[in-house]
Amino acid sequence: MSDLPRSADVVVIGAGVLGLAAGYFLRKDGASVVVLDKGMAGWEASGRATGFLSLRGEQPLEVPLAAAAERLWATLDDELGTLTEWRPGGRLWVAIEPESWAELAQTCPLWRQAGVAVELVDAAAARKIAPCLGENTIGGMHTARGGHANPQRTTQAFAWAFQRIGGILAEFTPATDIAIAGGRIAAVQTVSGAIATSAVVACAGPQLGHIGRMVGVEIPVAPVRLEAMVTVPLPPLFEVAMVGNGLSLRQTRRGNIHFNGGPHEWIDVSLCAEPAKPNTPIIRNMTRRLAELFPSLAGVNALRSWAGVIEVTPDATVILDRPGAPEGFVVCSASGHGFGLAPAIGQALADLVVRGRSSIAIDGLGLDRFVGLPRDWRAARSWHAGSYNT
Amino acid sequence: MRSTAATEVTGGAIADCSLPAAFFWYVRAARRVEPPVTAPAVVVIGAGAAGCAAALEAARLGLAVTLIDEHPQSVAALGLDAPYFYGARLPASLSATMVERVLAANEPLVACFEAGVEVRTGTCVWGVFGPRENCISLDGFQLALAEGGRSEMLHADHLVFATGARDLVLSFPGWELPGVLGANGAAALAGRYQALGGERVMVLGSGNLGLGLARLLRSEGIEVVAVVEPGPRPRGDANLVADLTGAGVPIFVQHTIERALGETEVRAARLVAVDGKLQPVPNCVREILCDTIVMAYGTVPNVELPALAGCTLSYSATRGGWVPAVEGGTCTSLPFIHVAGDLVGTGEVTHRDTAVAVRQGQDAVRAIATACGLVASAVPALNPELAADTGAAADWLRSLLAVGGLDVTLCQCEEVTRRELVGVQPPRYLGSGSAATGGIDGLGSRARTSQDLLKRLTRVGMGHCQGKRCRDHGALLIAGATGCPLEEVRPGSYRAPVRPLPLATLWPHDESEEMRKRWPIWLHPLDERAPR
Repeated sequence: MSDLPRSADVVVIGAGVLGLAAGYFLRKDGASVVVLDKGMAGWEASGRATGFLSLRGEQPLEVPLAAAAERLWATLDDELGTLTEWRPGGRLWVAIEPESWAELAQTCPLWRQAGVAVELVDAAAARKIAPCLGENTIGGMHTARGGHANPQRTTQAFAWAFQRIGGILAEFTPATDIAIAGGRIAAVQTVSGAIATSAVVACAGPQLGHIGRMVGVEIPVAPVRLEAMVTVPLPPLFEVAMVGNGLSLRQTRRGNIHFNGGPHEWIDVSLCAEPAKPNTPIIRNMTRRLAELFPSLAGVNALRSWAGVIEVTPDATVILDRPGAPEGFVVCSASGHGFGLAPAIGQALADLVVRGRSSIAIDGLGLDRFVGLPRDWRAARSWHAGSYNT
Repeated sequence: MRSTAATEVTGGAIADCSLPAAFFWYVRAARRVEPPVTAPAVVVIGAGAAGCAAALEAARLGLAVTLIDEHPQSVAALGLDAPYFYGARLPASLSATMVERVLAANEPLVACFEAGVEVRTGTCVWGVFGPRENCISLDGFQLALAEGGRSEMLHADHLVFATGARDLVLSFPGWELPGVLGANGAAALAGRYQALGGERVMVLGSGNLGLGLARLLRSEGIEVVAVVEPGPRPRGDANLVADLTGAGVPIFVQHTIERALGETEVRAARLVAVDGKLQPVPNCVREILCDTIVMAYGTVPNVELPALAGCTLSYSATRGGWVPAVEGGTCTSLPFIHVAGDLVGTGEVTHRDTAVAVRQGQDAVRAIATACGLVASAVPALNPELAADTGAAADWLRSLLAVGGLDVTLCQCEEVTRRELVGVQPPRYLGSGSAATGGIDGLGSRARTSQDLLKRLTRVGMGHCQGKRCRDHGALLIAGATGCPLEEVRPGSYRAPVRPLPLATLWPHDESEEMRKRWPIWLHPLDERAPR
């Protein structure tokens, strides 16, 4: 690409929603920023995500990020000048089997302790929130917090807003190496030439392992391929982002029910090539689970399926760090649940680059927690390519 | 949230198997037809001329062969405009004798029955799955079938896709009206289903597709009021032209359609004369009464299934667009998948007769038999010149744009106009809250020629016809708006199910207990042995 600048204050590697959010907040802070991607912006996991704002009471370290993200989402459409289809419709975890109902009853107080305002609701209340739930509903766990948005439109909104304020997006321009001089980041090499810079923000998702090796930083992530589907558009049925019967699902603004879940295959990815993302017959099992959850919709047409590749960290928790060696290197993995956290993560990454510390609490999310992780951790837990997470 | 579920793989048979457990269970439970011990299983998809010829040849050579075809289709299936553009005027029901008629009308299919081919009609193939990059655990290739409200998986050692071609659709004002449809849709409704529902037909396009359709309609006792052609002379076979003009069918050259007229269904068509540059000639408008308008601009190979299977596609202007890349006439980039008939390529030659398709069907099976060592060597395969008339679609679109402009619906499912596509406008359900997107030039130089990206942003092709009515029109518009050659417009991905199907139909009746019990919820359970 001929218009790739020769230098920039910051180079962000990865034009998913995290990299673009980081690029946007950095540029807004006055830095000159290039966001690189091996392919198109938002083409991988960010454009294939469920679209939830993740609220995970079982992981208290992420609670401040989720709270900050929720505040940013409230005004994000105005901030970015594009509609993201954000719908603060709350969250509902539904049980249609006694075992899952028992789990919810156990989970609820733990989440409340962690600061997520969930409460148990009976079947009638759950079906009031989502009237298409079947008579097999036993109950649920609900919170008015959280919500969901359109991942494709949101990622593109960040891309447009970033470029509108002078950020440079270089698609089909994979980073191939990072030069270090005197213990500091010096340049990023791409297929289209080098960019001199003192700061790199690595948001390369499944490729983070490769990026880390360029600078001698071990970033433990395991890529995985998972599958999703949508139905044809339906009239408005429910607003909550829902988890139930083994699926995560939401109704899009257009009306399609978007659902995913089930067994997924661990894979390996290369640095520059787009990973293949085939579907499998497991999509049939997904349709059954949706029909069991919403029996009255069993006659509704499923319209399409797709697959996406995400990365998972060893503890399925966000990595957000400026490890210090080499100086100027900042890294983030959201372990496959970063879509809704993206506004906060973008802000935190910009803070880490510009000020050296995040204004949002990210304590405990650093790479140092993996000291002592065996090198063969993926194989040891059967997360190696070709294995399934059943 | 499910933190206590078992993660140990138990049971000798499973532990001893090198396949990942989930798929082992799935495949073992799902396989309805065990691979034969002696002869490899050949499955042929599509019972047109090519598919029937392939199945007959397979039976002759002693291969175990299954022939699958989605016709006769239900009214609900016809309403999805797949595989053809049937339009909005569909019968409320199809007669009970239709199955017999559909079968009887297909002489080669009757011959397949008699030759002992396992024939499955009324069965759609909505997916094909196999081991490949990032899905290394599937045990062989499997077709996903749906029939009578149920789905199942079918193992195949060798596949012959003979899935034909669909209608090239280029819209004009009024094309949503009942009575507007495509040439293949019209031929199927008028012939196979005896349910066209119209009596006075205008045919848009004078290649062999349009001329052949006009002849078929007349043989069914349906009046053809006009054949329309924007170019200076009819494009198709001179004998067909002579037959039609001799029978008094007017052919309007240097004309295009301005709009379909009518309130609840087509009442007439308004034609406009165009000059040599396909621009409208002032004050040269005529209205012709008709109840049916057929788009016979051209056809497009049905590549969904080979694309899903992972076959390499390549663009070939002379074969009608994106087609499976083939070696030796019929072999795709995956050696056990062959293609035949209009899927290999469609053009003036294939629109005139079926000889090429029949030969390709036979060639495909002989190549399979040769690969299996059942016959000594294959007869050299046919590699015909198909003579797709690439100018026809471009001429039609140029004339339609000159007369109708950009404010014409391009995507019926999602109600998106041509202007909204090339302007990368957000969908109308979002209202006017979005800032200007900068149009197609506001996207990266390679992003702007990605139909997938434009689909996400504008929703063109996101609806229930799965892009069958807008994909090719959209590609032509994107090429025009970006100045890119058509072959550089990257077509949108194909996704299973390639026919929209009810959740209850896709429901896995063959689901294993293990799949039920060990279904993970969003990356849970995490391995309890994991270091913290």
